[in-house]
Amino acid sequence: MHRISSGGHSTPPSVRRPILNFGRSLNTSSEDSTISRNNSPHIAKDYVESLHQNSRAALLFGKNNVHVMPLKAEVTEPMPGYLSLHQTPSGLTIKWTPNQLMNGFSDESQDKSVYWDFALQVRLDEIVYVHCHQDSEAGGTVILVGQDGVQRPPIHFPKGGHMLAFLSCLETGLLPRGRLDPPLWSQRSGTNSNTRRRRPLPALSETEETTKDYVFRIIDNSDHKDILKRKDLMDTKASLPSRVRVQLCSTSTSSESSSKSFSLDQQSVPDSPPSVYIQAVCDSMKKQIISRAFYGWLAYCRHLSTVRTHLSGLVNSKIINGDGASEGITLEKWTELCIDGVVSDYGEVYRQTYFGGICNELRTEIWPYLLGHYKFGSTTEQRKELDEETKQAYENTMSEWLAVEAIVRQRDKEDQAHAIAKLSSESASGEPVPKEIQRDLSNEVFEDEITDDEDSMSEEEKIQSRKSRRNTIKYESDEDQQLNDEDNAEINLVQISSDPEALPSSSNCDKNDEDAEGRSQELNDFIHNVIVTNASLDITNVETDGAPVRNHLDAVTEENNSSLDTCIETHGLASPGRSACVSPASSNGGIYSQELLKTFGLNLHRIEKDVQRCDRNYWYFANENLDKLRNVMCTYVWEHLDIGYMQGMCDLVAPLLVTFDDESLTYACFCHLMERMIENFPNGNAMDCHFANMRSLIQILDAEMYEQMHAHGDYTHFYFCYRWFLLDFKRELVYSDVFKTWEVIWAAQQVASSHFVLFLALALLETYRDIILSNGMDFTDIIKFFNEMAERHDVNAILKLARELVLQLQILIENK
Amino acid sequence: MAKTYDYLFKLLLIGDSGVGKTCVLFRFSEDAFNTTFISTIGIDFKIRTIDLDGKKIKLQIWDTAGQERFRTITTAYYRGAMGIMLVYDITNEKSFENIKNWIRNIEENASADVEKMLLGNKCELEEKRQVSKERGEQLAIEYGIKFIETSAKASIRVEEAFFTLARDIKAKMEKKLEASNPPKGGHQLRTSEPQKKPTSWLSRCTLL
Repeated sequence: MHRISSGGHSTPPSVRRPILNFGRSLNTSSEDSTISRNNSPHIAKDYVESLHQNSRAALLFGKNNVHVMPLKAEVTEPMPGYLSLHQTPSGLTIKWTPNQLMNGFSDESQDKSVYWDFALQVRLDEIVYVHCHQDSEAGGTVILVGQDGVQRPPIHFPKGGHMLAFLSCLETGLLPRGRLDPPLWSQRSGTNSNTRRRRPLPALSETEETTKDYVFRIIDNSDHKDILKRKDLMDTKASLPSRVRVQLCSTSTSSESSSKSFSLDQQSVPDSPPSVYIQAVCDSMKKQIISRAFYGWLAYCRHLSTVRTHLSGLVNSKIINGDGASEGITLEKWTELCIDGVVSDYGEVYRQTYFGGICNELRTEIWPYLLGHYKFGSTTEQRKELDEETKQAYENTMSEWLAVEAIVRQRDKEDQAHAIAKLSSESASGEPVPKEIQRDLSNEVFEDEITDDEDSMSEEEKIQSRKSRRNTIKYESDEDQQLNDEDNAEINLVQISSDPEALPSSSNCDKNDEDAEGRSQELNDFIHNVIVTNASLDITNVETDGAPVRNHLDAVTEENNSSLDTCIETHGLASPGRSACVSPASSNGGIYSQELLKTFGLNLHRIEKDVQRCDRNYWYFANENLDKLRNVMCTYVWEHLDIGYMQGMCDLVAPLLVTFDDESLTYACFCHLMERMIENFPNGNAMDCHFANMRSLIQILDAEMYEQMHAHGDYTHFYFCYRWFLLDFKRELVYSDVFKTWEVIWAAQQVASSHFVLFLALALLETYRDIILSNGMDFTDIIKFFNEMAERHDVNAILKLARELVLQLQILIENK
Repeated sequence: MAKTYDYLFKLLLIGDSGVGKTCVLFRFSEDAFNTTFISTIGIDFKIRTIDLDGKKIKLQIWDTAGQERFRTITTAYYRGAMGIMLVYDITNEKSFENIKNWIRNIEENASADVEKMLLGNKCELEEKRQVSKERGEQLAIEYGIKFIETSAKASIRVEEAFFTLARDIKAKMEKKLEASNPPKGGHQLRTSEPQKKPTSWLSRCTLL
């Protein structure tokens, strides 16, 4: 007598649990008895036919040449066979039948009876754990573990994703009453090497080649009582009246409500005759399965439609490929693109830049195109003209604010003097401050700043230059009032006059010159080191015909002071064509409202504070070039006083300045850059949009990460991305990488996505996703992690991944 | 991994930009000073575990951007803070005057019983001083908070400042616990209770 061994028979009989296992397993024995049969060809044929789709059971999965090592002493090697997964009214059953039984069962010449012992039949409700062992070389192995902890014979799948397919079918089959934990989907998206999403982390890509193990738990969601009742109905063979209705879950797709749908209309049971129309139950199940599939499909469609509605705006609909663009724009390529100084194939410039970047020598030339300063198709002459105009405009603007700066400086000085005077009067127990000091201080404008220069000037020059400068500013103040009340130091209007004779106060100053000089030395120590020489030059500019100006300029240029040189250059003082220019301050009437002075002064201080600490570790800003940065920044703020200076702006100017090393071009390009970036700063709403989009993107592209973020509620405000978006990743990367990243962001707008920064952010997260997930990092951990990882990222890998992520979303959206 | 500390205190540094918040924090967490510091964008934090009366206290100190404009992001961190360091620069009158505004910010955004402390930083620059020590002290008295002049650069009293703030928070916390659970068996409760009943965010502190 040979029997087909059931799952229970392949393990010692003692481990069977006929009672403890509720529900479907209660009738295991009766099921067994229907399968157990004599080894007659007729029965065998029936059996093999039962492996196919039939009215009793739905075939969910079938695969031949699946190897199993039966737990029999006489078998030493895994045997190939047919594995099938069946859904019957009583639950899921996994069957495995050796090939010998499948092929030519009519052939009587060979005794196959022995193989019936090897055949497997496992009821899934006896199984608690599914161990999966994946090997990219050899395929995968599934080991089913029962509630008793006993393992069923390992089922070995051939290579080619069959194990995954099997698990998918299993997961679907378990629904809605049971499920796999963790869900297969997220496991698959996270760890399966066959899926499209490859993990970029080097550590992980190595493990892709090696083996992996996962364990799933089979969880029964069903209501215990419901099932017992249903079992009772079936076991007692009580027939339901024909009017028995099966409640079909009509609309909801949630597992909770669909599990209820299996309960029969209990009302009718007491009245019903004792025979059950099992067929009715089976039919209802079929309907259930179909409806479930339908709702699953519907949910998927809705999901995709959400993706399309909400995320389609994030990527360009047209997919542009990167063929032949991996090298980017090399010198060679540029000669092809830039014919006689005219670049007309802008699409190609963007494409090459997006996929391969720009070689460093060409950045100065190409960046203005990418930022929109130069127009594609323009000639060399046109661009030269534009450069000239830009420079002119920049210089004009600069002379405007330099004039205001001079006034601000003076006021600062007074305020400081007041503070110091107040402090010394406090410490000297109320001793009144000498009146002379007050007066001197209120009138000295540049005393502290020019000291270095003065040291090398002749006494005559010193006086002359000071006089010329002092004469240009009329500062109306009531000194007596100042003494009484420091708040009254505020003056309603400050006037700049080009007429030195109209300044009565200047003569007062001269009288006290010697006094002032001595004291100013002391004061130098109190007062911040500021770069103001530019301002003084600008004001001397007013006196276009005076000899003192020339002397002063000569003296200054002899100083070989780089900041002064810059100033002279930018103001065109060195060029004869500009020598007759009138100070814009005077042409404007030279009158500035108190409010404007206050606002600009505030901005000026902020800018200086940040310029002084902007990338001082980078060679370009180590000692020099800070003035250039300051000038560009001040010019921008002067032109956009309503916006004002905000921390981070310096960071955005710096890489441009390093690349161009030209103030006016940097300024023009920075203005273009800020058109997009300004929205990220406070008062703009781009940052909140970025955060919201990040959330949606992560949800769509990395469900597992999303789950974790969801679990830590505080995750969701995404503040760890704040600096990334505010500065276009400038603080996250070293300079050379910032260049690479920025040009790709600019080009991406035309090639793939105008929200490329989102994909960069996503790429950064994905690069470290395994570290983040395995350590269960919460919000604070992530902030710390990324702050510590700053400037250590592999930018090429991240850019590549970001481009892949864009493409992935493009395909998802396009794929209707 | 076992918890390596008894308490986690979340502190916050606020004050005008450029007063040296980051430097103070760097001095305390790494005992170092760097003149090439960059401005803080967004937020950052540092960790240092200190020993107070036999208890290991992990200080998670948040550093914020000084510019007022960024307060939408920085005030998000006020809520969870147990202690706040108000920092000004003794060589900058304006930063001292702005302490009032920062206090108002705290009142609007932080929990009512947050421990506060006033720091006058850059006290090594005596020759550039604009705000006298007396004024600092007076302001602190006005608000009923402690005051210390520090120098991150010269490493003057930075340790002391953080230890003082941490000690005050600890004392306040233990007092609160005692009040909610009147002592039965003398001082035994004192040692065991705080570990059993950490505040809500204490309980989800993570290992770093």
